[in-house]
Amino acid sequence: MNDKHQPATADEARAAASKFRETYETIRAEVSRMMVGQEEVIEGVLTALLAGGHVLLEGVPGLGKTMLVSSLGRAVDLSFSRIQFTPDMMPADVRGSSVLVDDGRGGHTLQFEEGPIVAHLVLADEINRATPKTQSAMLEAMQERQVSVGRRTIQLEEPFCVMATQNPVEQEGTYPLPEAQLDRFLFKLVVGYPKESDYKEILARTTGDHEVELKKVSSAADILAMRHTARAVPVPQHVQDYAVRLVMGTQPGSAYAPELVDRFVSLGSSPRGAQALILGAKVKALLQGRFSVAEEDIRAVAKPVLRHRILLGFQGQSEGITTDQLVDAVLAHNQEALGARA
Amino acid sequence: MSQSDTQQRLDQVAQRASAELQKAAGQQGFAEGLGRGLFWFALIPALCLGVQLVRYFQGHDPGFLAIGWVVALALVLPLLAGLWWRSQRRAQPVAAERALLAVDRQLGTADRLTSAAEFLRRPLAGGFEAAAIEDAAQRLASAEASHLPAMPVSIEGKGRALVWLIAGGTLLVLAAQLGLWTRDALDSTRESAQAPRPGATLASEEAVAKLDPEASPSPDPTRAPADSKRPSGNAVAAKPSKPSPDLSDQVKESQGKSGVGQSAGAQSTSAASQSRSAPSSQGQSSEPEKAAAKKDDKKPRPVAEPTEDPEKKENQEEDSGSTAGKGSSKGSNKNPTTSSWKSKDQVTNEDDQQIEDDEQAEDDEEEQESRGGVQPHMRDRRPPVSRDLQIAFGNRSNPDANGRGGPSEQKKSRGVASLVLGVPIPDRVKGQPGPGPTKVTQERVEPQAEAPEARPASARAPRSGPMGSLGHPELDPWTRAVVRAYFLARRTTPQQP
Repeated sequence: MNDKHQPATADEARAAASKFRETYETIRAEVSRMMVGQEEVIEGVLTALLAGGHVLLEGVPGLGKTMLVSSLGRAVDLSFSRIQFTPDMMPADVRGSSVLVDDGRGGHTLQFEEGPIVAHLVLADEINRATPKTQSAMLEAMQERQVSVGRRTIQLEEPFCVMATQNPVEQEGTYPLPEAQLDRFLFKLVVGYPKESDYKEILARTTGDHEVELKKVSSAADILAMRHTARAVPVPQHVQDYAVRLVMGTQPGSAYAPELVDRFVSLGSSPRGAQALILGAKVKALLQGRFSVAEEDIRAVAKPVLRHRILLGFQGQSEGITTDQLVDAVLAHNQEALGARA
Repeated sequence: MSQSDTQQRLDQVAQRASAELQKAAGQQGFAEGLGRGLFWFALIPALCLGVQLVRYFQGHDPGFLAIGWVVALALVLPLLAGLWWRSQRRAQPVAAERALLAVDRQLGTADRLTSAAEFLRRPLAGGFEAAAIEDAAQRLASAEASHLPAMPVSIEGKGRALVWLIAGGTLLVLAAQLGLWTRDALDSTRESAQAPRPGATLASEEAVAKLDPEASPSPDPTRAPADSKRPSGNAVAAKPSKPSPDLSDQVKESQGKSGVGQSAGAQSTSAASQSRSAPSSQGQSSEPEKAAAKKDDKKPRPVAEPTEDPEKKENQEEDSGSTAGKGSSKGSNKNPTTSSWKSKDQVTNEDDQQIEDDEQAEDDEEEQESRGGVQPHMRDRRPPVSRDLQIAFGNRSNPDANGRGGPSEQKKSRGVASLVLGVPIPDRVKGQPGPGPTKVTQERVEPQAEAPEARPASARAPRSGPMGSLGHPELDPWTRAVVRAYFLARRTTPQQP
């Protein structure tokens, strides 16, 4: 971490934390003008954006997943691109390719055209409809923040965030994301149906003549500054231990794994899960007005972080076990982090 | 507030919380130890009851231990277990981090105090840690003012503890009752032992004295009076002069029978030898009888078989009486060793016969000892219903049947006599002749044409009703469907061990 972003004194830290919360609230309020309900999803997306991770949104069609991401792009003044994944899409359609361009003198030159992946906010719509070959084209971009095409390597500009959506119901003709790619997503957020009270507001905003226009309330620089602030939040040892125990608790055969995990899980979370827990908890701690991470911050982000990193076994699928149930079991099993250690 | 002040106050809060946690742990440990030690509450009375029973059967006074001591011991041991667990738990130190975490949870400060204490123990890395310490310092006042709530103390395994309590109480009551009852019973027994006992007639006493003047009363517990609840040792000691009424009856019934006081096997053997040696003088003792009496001196035996048929007794007497003049008889036909094969096929003189009878009596004795007197002798049992499809004459059995195999009488015993060489025993398992080699012959036959039967085609009408809803195929991934179907099928079928 760069030391110049680290607040040196308590006053600076308080000021940075205060600015963090203000900016966050401004962005959230602006996005909420377009998105009705789905407060948890908006908070999750913003938390992942500020923690420097990518988000996988899962929900049935028509719940506003695409609109949420596009609204975020407009409110934060980030470059936004959308990729609609289809089975016939090729990696070059994502990363870009060299094309012949008229040079104006009657000739043609080979010129590289960047693909839609080169943007701050990338909406990968229905990512599970693309073939694994195309899906893997996203791997390098998501992890290394760069794209390699031929001999050319393009560094992606920060803040870079991929927000992918997938439909959990219509699975025919889809290619489920491999574990390696799922692990790259910081959060997996489940977009549910809005509440009854939200329906009226949705209808009023979307069926009237008045069109909601979002203002740019923040910038890429603000987002980067917020990321640095979040990373500066210290994590006490007992909280780190708690995060490690939770991640190990998802691994069958571990000492911290509950009986449910041992029975139904074939693959638990990787160390990336612990990293994601800590990063998400740092943002949560700042939003809660604290200057250090607490166990409750870890618990707050446990489900979005761990639910897609747990691979159910044969028996787990047949019994209808969900990964959320497993995360709940892990949380309950490791409730007393210090109690067992002392 | 300086950081050193904050650290000092945090340490104080941690120490106080540690002490409170240790106290709570001690209380919980006491409850746990009490719950685990409650089995002593049942074990001590159970041991007491067991010792009482053992002493009762040995004829001693079972109320050897005051019930108060038993209750005190049963109560003290669980308490001691609780105190030991309490001391163990209290001896375990509670880390300051854990104590502060408990305070954090009680105050709802989201690990602020714990984190600040940790940041204070190491060099500060940035402004956020300093801010976290200052944040915690603002909440120290409330932490100092608060006390950890008393943890609810619960006994582990309440149901089990309740079972121990009930069992211990029941056993205590039983032990007390047994002590009181046996004491009363012993008192009454002593009183009755001092008083003269009526009942035995002079004639029977004389008869027993004539038969066996040195014989002691039968130690068989079944011969003890039914109303006497005393231990057998006492019963033997208390009535040395009282003859058994059963014994006297037996003597009256079978005067001159030498089987008195022996087992049925010995009785039959001695009956046979009696008929050989003293054919006409019933009531006098013969040599085998004396030998049997000597054996009786060595080891007393039951007097008579209670299930013995009176008709059989008569037959026995008749047998022994009718063969008295022949010098050699079959004896009891219940005895396989003295069965017809021996008397017909083997020529034995009287001495051999006597030696054989002695050996037989010893065998019987050994057999009886090895059985511990639990099972009745095989030869005393009625022969099983004959399943042998032998040739018979009306209701009578085949007179030629001699137990040597073939269509004969039901074999009467197994064992030594059956294993003697030269006694053919028919096979119990009937063999089956083999089917022999199989021969398959094939014949070439030319196919013959047959006229086909004409079948009228049924008329097919168009569908009258609707097709119904044709379900859309399951859209889930095929693996999920297959897995679900597999487990559904597995659940519907009964599990095989």
